[in-house]
Amino acid sequence: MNYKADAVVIGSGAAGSVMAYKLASRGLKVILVERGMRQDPQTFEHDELAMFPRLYKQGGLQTTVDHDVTIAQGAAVGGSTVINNAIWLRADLDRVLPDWARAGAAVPKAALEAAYGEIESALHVSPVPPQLANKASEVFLRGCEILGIPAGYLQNNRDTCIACGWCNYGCRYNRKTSMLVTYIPWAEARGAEVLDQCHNATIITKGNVATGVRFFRLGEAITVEADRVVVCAGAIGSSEVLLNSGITLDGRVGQGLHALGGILVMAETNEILDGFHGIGLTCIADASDEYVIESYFAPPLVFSLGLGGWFLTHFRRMMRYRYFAGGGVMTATDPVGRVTLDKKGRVRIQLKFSDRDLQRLRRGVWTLSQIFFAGGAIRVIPATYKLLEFTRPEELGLIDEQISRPEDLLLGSAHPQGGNGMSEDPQKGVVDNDFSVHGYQNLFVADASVFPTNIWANCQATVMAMAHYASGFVAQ
Amino acid sequence: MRVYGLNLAELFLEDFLAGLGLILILFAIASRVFAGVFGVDGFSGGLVVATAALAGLILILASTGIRQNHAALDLSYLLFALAALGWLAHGILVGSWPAVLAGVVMLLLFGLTIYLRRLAIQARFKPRFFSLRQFETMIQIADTMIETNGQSALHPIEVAIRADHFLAGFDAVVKEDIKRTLVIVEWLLPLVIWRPFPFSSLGSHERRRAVEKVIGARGIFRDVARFLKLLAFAGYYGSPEGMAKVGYLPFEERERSKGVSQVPQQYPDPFSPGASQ
Repeated sequence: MNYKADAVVIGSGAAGSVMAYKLASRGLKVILVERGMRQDPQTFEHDELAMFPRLYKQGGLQTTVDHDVTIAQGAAVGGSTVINNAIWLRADLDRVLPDWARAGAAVPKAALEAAYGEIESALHVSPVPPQLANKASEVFLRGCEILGIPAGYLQNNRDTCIACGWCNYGCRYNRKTSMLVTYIPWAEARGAEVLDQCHNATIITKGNVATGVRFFRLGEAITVEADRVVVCAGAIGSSEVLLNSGITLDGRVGQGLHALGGILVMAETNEILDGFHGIGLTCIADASDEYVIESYFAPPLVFSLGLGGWFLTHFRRMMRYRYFAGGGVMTATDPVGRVTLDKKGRVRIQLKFSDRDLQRLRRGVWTLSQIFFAGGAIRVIPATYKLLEFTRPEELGLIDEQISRPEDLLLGSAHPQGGNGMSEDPQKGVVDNDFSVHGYQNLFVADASVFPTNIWANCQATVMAMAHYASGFVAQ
Repeated sequence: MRVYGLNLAELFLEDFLAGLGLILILFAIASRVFAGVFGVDGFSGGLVVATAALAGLILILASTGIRQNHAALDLSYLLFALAALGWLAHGILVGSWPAVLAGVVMLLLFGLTIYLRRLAIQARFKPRFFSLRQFETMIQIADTMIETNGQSALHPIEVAIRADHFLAGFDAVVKEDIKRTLVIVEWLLPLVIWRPFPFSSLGSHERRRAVEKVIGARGIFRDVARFLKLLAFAGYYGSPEGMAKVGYLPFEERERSKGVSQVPQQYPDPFSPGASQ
């Protein structure tokens, strides 16, 4: 089957949806291609084991090649916006854009701020209502207040949330303004067509001109001919698509992967908190420029995997599930990771936390532990491979001793970035400042993969803003 | 917690093994009485007779609990195979056709026992992702990793079923590694505590000792421990029973959900012509 369009967009997450909407708004015939399935939110279950295969890339088991870092990404129409915590955190542009400029990427601050503003109004962005936050957040905020660490509720893209606490498994009530229920239907209303379950997408080129996309859908080979091909498949997926299409740019495609990632820290208290009851990710502490600390609580399965300990020790801790608060420490890795393909064409992710990153995480764990102790915790347990627990702040000195390698930690990231970095220098970057792939015509990449350095924040807001900004170049 | 009784195939296998064991013992005695007919009057003949008798004895022992006596069952199968091959080889060497015939019959019966055992496991489980052996391993992994002091909300079989169905539901590169891990756990992990038996045949304390060894290790064994934790906890804490056990309350049962509209929200395009901002 063949389609013709003015633009074909690969990936329907934060970037692809905004891109498709903006292009359709300009009157372009747009086809949006997505590997995952289009799900009916009303079928979303409060069941981790059922939802991971339905909504997560590789069932939530996407890891680096050495299995040291788990990378959580969505795989459905709406992408990661369907499974994220709906946290809307603008990047500190005064910090990020100079870093990008040093890498050769010139992005005007005013354009991004305008994009942020427009999308925020569309997605009902507002602060997390304290009455809907889980009670464990109070321990976090109390600790920050006692220690004098500035902290507060995050901005989020929800509307009339009823705080079931299952944001990471799709919102069955449509209270999270994910792309699935906002920009995608809006783009469709403007003529865009969404094709889900499209596998093995490759870009068709004639010489150095992109002319369309080929993929398999429900067993059928499909070709979309288009004047513009826009790759918005995320930090891992976009590199995968380019590499599978034979577009390597002398090995630059997939290089420079980085992430904002880290570990969970659990804190046991003497009061029943029922952290599962309410929004899971609610607060942020402004403790350092070297790491990001956010409060977080998860349903039992994910909680159990992040909780240190084995055998009966672990079980006894789990039996105190209702008494726990939780949080996460994240740091930004350097852009030295890489996305490659194996002989079967499957993606291989190489991403390491360096000694410097580890040092930052140790400091972050120390700070978050102090916050929890000040907030009333009787025991703090970072997500380490071997059980590491502290019952008094004085014991926190053991962090340096016990965490000596990245593999000592149960590392994860939901914010992979880079791999197709933006730079005006064709020898350094994959895309130019107008998001076009160096050396190719009509081919663009506009998602987190173009971030040359880390944005030090949950990604979705900046991904959407960048796609919004990029749409102007694509439409030309 | 559900209780799992023996299914029809398992009941038949138990009876079959008990009968087979008895026949083997009787045959060993008879062959010794009529040693001249079977050519088993020398040392090597005595050895194959003894092997057949021992295989029969262990088969009877194993048949007293084919789920509990894994080690005995594996050992009895091994001895039975040795006895069959021994009789065959001995018969050929001494030129005794009755001994060769006995060896062939034993080999056929051995094939039948293998088939019946497979049938018995298949009748219990129909794994979607694991092989039958891997599924057996997974059950023992669950039993080892979810140590609850008698407070478990879920039988290890249920945990294994949940893990199996979960893994069957998606494509992931890591799934191949998980399968490899189960093979390592079943056949290599017991060697770290000097036990040359499959992991699923070890007793609970031995299994625990073996897993403890890899928890303290680095490199590939660290990955093994990680996967064991993932598989067991996914099956257990991902279940409604496991969730309830730790105190999780479903949203529909919470006070906050009472009287709150759960109708899915709709979002009109705020930038469409005519939309009120």
